[in-house]
Amino acid sequence: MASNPAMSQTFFQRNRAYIYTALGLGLVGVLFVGVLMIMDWGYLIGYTIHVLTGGSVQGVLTPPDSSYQMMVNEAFGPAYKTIAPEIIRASNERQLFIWWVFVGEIVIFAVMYVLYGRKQATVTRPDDLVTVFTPFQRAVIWLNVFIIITLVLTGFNITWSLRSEGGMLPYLLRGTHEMTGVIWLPIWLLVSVMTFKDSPILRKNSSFRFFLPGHYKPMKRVVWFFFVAMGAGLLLSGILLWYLHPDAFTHAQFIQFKRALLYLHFGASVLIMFFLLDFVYSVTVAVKGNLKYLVCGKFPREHLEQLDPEVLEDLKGAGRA
Amino acid sequence: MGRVKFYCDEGRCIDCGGCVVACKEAHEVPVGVNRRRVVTINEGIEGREVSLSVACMHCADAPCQQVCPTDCFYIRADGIVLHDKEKCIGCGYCLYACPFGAPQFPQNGAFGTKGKMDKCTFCAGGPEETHSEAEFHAYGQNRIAEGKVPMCAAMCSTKALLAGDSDEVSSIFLTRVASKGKGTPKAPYGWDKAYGK
Amino acid sequence: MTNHLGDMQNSEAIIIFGANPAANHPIAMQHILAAKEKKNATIIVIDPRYSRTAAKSDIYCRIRTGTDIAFMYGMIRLIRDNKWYDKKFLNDRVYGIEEIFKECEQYTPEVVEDITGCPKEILIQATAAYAKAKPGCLIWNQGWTQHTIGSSNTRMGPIIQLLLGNMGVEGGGTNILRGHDNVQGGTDMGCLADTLPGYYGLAEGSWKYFSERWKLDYDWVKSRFKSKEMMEAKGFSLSLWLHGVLDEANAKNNAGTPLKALVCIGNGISTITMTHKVKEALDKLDMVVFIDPYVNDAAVITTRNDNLFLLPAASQIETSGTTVNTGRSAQWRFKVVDPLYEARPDHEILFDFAKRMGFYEQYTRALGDGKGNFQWPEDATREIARTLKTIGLQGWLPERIKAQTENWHMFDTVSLAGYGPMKNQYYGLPWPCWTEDHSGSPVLYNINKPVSQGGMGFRNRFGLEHNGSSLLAGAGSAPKGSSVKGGYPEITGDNIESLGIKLTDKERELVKGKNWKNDNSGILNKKAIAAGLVPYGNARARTIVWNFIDPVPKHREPLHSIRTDLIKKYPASADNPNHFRTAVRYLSEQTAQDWAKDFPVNIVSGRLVEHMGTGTETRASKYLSELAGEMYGEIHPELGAKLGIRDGEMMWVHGTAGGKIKIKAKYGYSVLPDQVFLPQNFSGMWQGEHLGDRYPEGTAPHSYGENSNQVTSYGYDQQTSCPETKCSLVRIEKA
Repeated sequence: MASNPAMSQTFFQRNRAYIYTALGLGLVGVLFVGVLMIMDWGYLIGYTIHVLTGGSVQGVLTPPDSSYQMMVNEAFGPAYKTIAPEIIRASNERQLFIWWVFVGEIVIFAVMYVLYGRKQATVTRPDDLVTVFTPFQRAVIWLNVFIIITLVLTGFNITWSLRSEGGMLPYLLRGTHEMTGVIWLPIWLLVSVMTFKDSPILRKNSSFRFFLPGHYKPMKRVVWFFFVAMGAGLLLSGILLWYLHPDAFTHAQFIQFKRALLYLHFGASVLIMFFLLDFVYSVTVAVKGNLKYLVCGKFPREHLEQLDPEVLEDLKGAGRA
Repeated sequence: MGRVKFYCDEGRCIDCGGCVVACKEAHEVPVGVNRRRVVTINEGIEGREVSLSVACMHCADAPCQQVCPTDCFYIRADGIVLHDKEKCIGCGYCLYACPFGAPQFPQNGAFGTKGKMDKCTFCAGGPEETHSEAEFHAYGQNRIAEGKVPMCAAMCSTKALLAGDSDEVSSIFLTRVASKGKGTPKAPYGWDKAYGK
Repeated sequence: MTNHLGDMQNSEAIIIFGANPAANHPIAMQHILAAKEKKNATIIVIDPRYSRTAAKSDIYCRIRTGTDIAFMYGMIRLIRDNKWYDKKFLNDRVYGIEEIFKECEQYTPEVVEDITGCPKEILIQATAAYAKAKPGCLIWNQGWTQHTIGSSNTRMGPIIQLLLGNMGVEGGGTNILRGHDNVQGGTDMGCLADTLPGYYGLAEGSWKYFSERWKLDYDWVKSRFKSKEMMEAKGFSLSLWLHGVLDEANAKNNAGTPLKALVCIGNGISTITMTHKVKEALDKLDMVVFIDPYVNDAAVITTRNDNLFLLPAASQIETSGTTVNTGRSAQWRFKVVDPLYEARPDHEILFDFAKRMGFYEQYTRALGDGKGNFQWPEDATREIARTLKTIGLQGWLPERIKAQTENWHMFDTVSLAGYGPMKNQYYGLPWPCWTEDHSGSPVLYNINKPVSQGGMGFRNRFGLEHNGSSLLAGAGSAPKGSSVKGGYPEITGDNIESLGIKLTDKERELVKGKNWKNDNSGILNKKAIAAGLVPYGNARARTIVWNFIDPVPKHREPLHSIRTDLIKKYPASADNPNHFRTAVRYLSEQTAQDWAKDFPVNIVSGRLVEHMGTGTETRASKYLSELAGEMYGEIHPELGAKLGIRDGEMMWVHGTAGGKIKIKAKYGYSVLPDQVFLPQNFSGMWQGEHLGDRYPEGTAPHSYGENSNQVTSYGYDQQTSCPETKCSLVRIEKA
């Protein structure tokens, strides 16, 4: 699968990773938006512009034309129907459908597995190891892994608690989700640096050079980018949702903003799940042995020679292999 | 008997806060949690100042119940919307769904974040045994079981806030409108959202 | 109140001066709004600030503080010119209206507009609406009384009501809403510097009457005072006592000595004007005692280290007894719980004082069997009923009041009339309740009812004639069923038979030389009421008070007026060298300097609905503190912009008497750009300094704030010495 960028390749061949992603996202998006949500898109767009340009998050886009409407705006928050009903459906109905997204993905992976199987390097010298990941890099990667697992589990604990029927444990897990999300922020920042290691700025700066040797392949890069982008959305919305705690008297000023944020959080979580599964597949299923090497940080030289020659080159260049 | 309703007469509400304090004292609600609140708009502007007391309206088709992921809400035969704090995980979905901002979350819950949701019970307690210590601790008094109206309406100084059977409330509303004998009656605030048009 | 709360539902128009019932009397507001709803009553609010009450009004008149009299003369002039007055009522029941009509001549709508700032169109609209509606009810509060000319304000209101024939009718009257649940009772019991209980005054006859009722020897009572002269002289009033401490020159009015000790029982003494002077006085006294359920904030304000005593008193739910509401109705308050902690009921504390000072036996001699065996508080209530005849408390027996309280569901809430077993009684037996089976009088001066059911004319109090005119009521204006069809003097043992009432020889002997105020046999009352006569006579209401500084009420500019140009035309009265034992400045204070130049902002003071007084009690509630936990000053954005103070920023407010407070600015439109609204409900902060650590452990309130009276100006009512907290000037600076 090593791609050799050559003039002979068509546009489609060069960019198929991105095109597939766009098509996949489009499909999910259409399903997500068109079937599973009711949303006043005009209001949401207007609201976003209003927040960005006006600075007010209350959501009164048009001045009230009656004292009744003014009281509604002040007491309950404006334009209730535009975002709130979406949340209603998102919470109760979508939780029954959301797992179809995963079913679909697993089907795709099954097909890929049948078509491509697992790649495996022929290792004859198991003791000839090259240190690819430093302890720091491993710490970041594995912390990220554990945090994501925690967030996914505790997050679905909230959404799917119809099955757990609530109670003390789900209540504590819900609190864990919020706290873990806050802890994730620095880890996510480090992961972002890893993600953009191919960018010229980081490349030129040798101090960043030690991050993850080699280049990303297009598909892998898309996965990383989306992880960082969706992570940004999740963190921004999640931390704001957690931090903004309006009391009864400031409720109307913030509730619309919180509704929009929750919407962002839900959307981002669905999308990030898509790429997370993809990542898990490409690391653990598509290539055998990755998991073990990721734990100790050392890869057999032959493995790198056969499957990741670029990484080996990179490490040689840095004098580490 | 019909369903219960809240009605706040903006012609009478004077923003005295009596309902808020009565509620808190009756149910020993912590500071920061307001099951009921009074909102005043256009404060100090001649001819345009209006006040209104708001709490959970005990909606007919309660959005909170629809969104609750743990299904902790239940609606009594008389329309009172209650919830089970044993089940509640404090996720806050009901807050997003509520058109009235009724759900309240104490800030000293799990890991210093939101605690279990608290809201107006129409003074009807909760799923625990009626008049038990556990019920009072989690939900406050159960005045409905004693045949009394909710504390806020009972304490309302100007009788702006009415609570009770919708027929009774409507009849008082109509009597007031009729005795005024002028102007067009305004639809009660929030009724369109809470009880449908 | 001449009428009562429920009665306001019968009004066709309600005019509210200097009162904010929506914040201060929410229950009264219920009846006002009911009148608006049921009777389509026009609500007219006259207030410098657009208050919560104004928000419910139909006509709102914004006037400058302290110009009510000019406004009312404007009204009277319009009533006179349009002949809206009740001619028959004036002819038969009022004295001296011509002088009022003469005085009103100068107050044309244009002049009124200039003085008050209220557009003349609104004045005319309000007057027409009010004068044409019958009956109309007039409400006032501290917005009228707390002025140097407060006593003139409170005379003008009744004059308007007399003019329109609104007195003595259901839905009319002058309704002064009392601030606490038992202020009316406290006043009736003589918590005043110039009278014995029941408004008996301080003259020798009164003392003798009370000595007899207390089963004491008059000479012994007299011996307790420094001299007979001091015994009969008015004492220091609540607002002026501090000058008896601070200003040595006042000693000559006080038997040659300044005040040395203060015992304060349940009074927020820091709510009077110039709290920083109160602090000085408290610091200077030899001893200070506070008797309160909560720590009086004055005890925290003073920095004295010695001889300061806090005696914890029981709250109202820890004691029992009668409580009198604003409508003169009594209700029995039953004890709910025993006093908590070390608190003791007030009477126990006072009995203890009496024991230690050696007059306990005399103190309790009139209670029970006179030998120390008595039932508290029933026997005290009986003593009151036995003694206070001027306001007709003879019928207030503990048994009757308790029976009513226990059966309060048997009374109509609008008319107060009882039914079933409570028939022929009004709830709370509103005084005067002349005899032990009288119904009580829900509406004062109502001649449409027989005396036995609460009817009465005006009291014959000021003699039979003045300047040659009779002061007795005219023909045909006696209460229903009266044996005398016109006016008659107050009933005495000497004149009762000339009014057509027959007495037996024994009765004649008993009432000889007595009058209705001191006839312990009760014969005069009983016989008079049987004949349909009011014990106090049937006279005219007087609109001129010849023994006052202003016989005819006059508009006088506040001592610290923002309209300096009007001072010359409407100057304050002359300084008073002995006003409640104090030398009080009026004209000299007003002209001492050009106040408005250095202090260009007018205070509008008032209460927050959450708090009471300085909030000693209410700030101890966490819920009330949550709703209103911070002192602020409401200013118009215009003023804020001028001074460079933004919404929510801190500002210094400096008063004319040298006080200053640091408070938060709150933008609002309820005030004008030359006004600042200061709620009077905070304490515990002192010129920017937090006094929280001065509270004894466990007694600190939940919220603190600057006491607004640190910046209110010098000034006291020219008759009553009520403090001037309403017309004060300040200077505001950004902090």
